[in-house]
Amino acid sequence: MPAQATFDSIATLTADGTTQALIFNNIPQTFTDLFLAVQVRSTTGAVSDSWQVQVNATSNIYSDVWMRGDGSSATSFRNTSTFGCVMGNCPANNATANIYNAAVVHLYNYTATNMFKTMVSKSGSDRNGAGTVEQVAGVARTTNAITRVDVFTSSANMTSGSTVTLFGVIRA
Amino acid sequence: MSNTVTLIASGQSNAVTFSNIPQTYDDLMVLISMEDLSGGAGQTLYSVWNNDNSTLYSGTWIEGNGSSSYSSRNSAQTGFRLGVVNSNGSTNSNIFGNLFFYLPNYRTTNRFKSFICDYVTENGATLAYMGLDTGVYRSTNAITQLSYGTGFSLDSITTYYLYGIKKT
Repeated sequence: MPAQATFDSIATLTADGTTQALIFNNIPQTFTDLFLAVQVRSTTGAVSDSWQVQVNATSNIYSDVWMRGDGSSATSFRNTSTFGCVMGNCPANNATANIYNAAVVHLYNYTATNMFKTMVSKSGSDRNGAGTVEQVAGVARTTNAITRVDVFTSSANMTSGSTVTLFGVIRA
Repeated sequence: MSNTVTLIASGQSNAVTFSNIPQTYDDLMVLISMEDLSGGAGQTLYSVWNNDNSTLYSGTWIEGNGSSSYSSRNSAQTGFRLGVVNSNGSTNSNIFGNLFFYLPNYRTTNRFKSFICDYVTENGATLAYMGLDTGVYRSTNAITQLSYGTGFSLDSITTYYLYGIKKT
């Protein structure tokens, strides 16, 4: 039997500063899970922004629950019926230059049509004396197979150089 | 078949330094299985990059210890605090904690380097930990060396695996 890649890079997108979203279209339906490596920054006029994941260009079907540390306290909260699934924070225009977040997202069973789609992120954006780290679980309430994933910053365009890579994961 | 994930090197000791990291990947991932032999409440795992001991490191973390959750941070450090190594190794042998570490765009020279990692240290006793750490190394230099250690004795079969991630 020929060897098959268990963890395979599908595509990498890099922001040029003129758009808010990086969009993966026509995602192959040959894997079991999807995995995202996210390193983004926002151009909004603040020290931080949030970033979101949307599937199949469908809005307002998401909810998420957060566990977040801000360097002084640990908190938990949730969002419901959001435009996309809010998966973490990132530095923004008023933060020290050259700092981007670091995050990974695991999206399970994206081809399954008998369940809603659950994703988990781990995201951090330390800014030398400020910043947050968070783990987020979210659900997209759709039973459709996922063929498109949008990753976007919530309040403004992504800073040029922001990168998102989509990986496919095959489970035996 | 593509080679998206490649094992670059591994180590098995009290501390490890991965030197001359190939500049042919895009991201780096490190998996550590670790046990502290010094007993007590566990020891902090530190990491220094590029053999640089200047105060360019800072971090933020959230952690739970079985009875409470909390968050803390540091700034202008000489290395990263990455997590807690499994505690009470001397009295709970064979129980190892685990740590996952991800460093995107490690050779990019137009940004500082940020990481995300999580770890667990359940030990069948008290004061076990789980946490999520992030940090930024305020250097635009490509990362060519990663060092890990605690300054305390770790079990000799503590293992470190460095992987290169190649993006399409």
